[in-house]
Amino acid sequence: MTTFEEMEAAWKAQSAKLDQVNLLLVDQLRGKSVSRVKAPLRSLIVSLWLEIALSATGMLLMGSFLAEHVTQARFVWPAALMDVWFGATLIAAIRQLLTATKINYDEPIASVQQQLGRLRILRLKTFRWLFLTGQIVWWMPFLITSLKMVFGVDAYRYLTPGFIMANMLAGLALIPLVLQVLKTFRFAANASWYERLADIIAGRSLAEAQRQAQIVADFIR
Amino acid sequence: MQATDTERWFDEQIGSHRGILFKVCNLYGASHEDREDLAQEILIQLWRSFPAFDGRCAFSTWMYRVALNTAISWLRHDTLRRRHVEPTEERLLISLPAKEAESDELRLLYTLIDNLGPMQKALVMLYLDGNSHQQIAEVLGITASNVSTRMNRLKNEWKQKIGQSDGPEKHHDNL
Repeated sequence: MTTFEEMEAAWKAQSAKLDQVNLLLVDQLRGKSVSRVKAPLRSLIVSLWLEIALSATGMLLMGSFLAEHVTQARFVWPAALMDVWFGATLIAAIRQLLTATKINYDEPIASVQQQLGRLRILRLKTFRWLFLTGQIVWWMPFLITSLKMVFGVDAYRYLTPGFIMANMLAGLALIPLVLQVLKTFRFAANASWYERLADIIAGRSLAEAQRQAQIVADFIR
Repeated sequence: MQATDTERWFDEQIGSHRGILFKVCNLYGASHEDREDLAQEILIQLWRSFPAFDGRCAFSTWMYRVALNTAISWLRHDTLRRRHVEPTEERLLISLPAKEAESDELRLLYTLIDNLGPMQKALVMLYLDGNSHQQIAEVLGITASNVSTRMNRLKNEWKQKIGQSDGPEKHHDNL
């Protein structure tokens, strides 16, 4: 029967051989090759900066729109809803950025993996929440404010309060509906980005991320 | 230190500890292509993290941390990684030795390791490389007593597995 000590000796023999293998990394590692390769965390940081810029711009636009129409309640409520949504996006992106920039791969493995796990959970929760609340914000409120801001058109001249209310309620009702559909129907494996998106919104990715985080937490204990 | 001296020192250190790179790639990469991709990513991450290396720990400890963190993250976000990493026009000239083990013992060891989780793989590799419990604890960020407990448990589990597989009708060639 093979013993652990025999396997250990075989590993050491292999290690000694590997130490003699040529490693031709030199010049190619640096310069052009490195700058072209984007590590996942680096891409995330770039996309977070983009999210911050876009949501800050959205907040500024909605803020100025609110200031202009502060006395007109029919414009205040949609602009305020959008402003709150942009504000939440901004705060969430800043939180993620602060977490991401603190991660250094030369720290102990358990600590780094815990930080990465927390960041993933935060990102999944944020995306899911923003996507679902976006069903309300990016329909009627967006239509009313953008028509006024871009074309100077008062949407209330064409849309009745009943129609607006019905559409707002439809957006609200869409949230549990989308959740239920995505939870009920699983898509075929390897269905690319569509399946990934469905997994995130249905909460399956979040559950998996939490399971992974628990594995790391158990390992430390 | 001037930039060229830094680069030279980096090359020397990586060269002296190249075994770490190969072993991490062998443990976490399933195919030869995977292992080459991973080696490339680890080397880039090492080079990126190098300016922060302050010598407070041994270079090998630092290299283990960066290499293993990169490998575990790479494994977990494999699909995502493939979307984010832009392929380089020319591959880095890495000559990775084949994982195919030369002995029955090594083949059995790789079979057993393949069934472990990413963190446990790191623990076993550090142990097999002859690091002390304290050194392993430093790399992993857990206590030395945790390292000892986990390794004892794992050895016992493996002993049982090997025992079961090494019955009279079965040789470890079959593993």
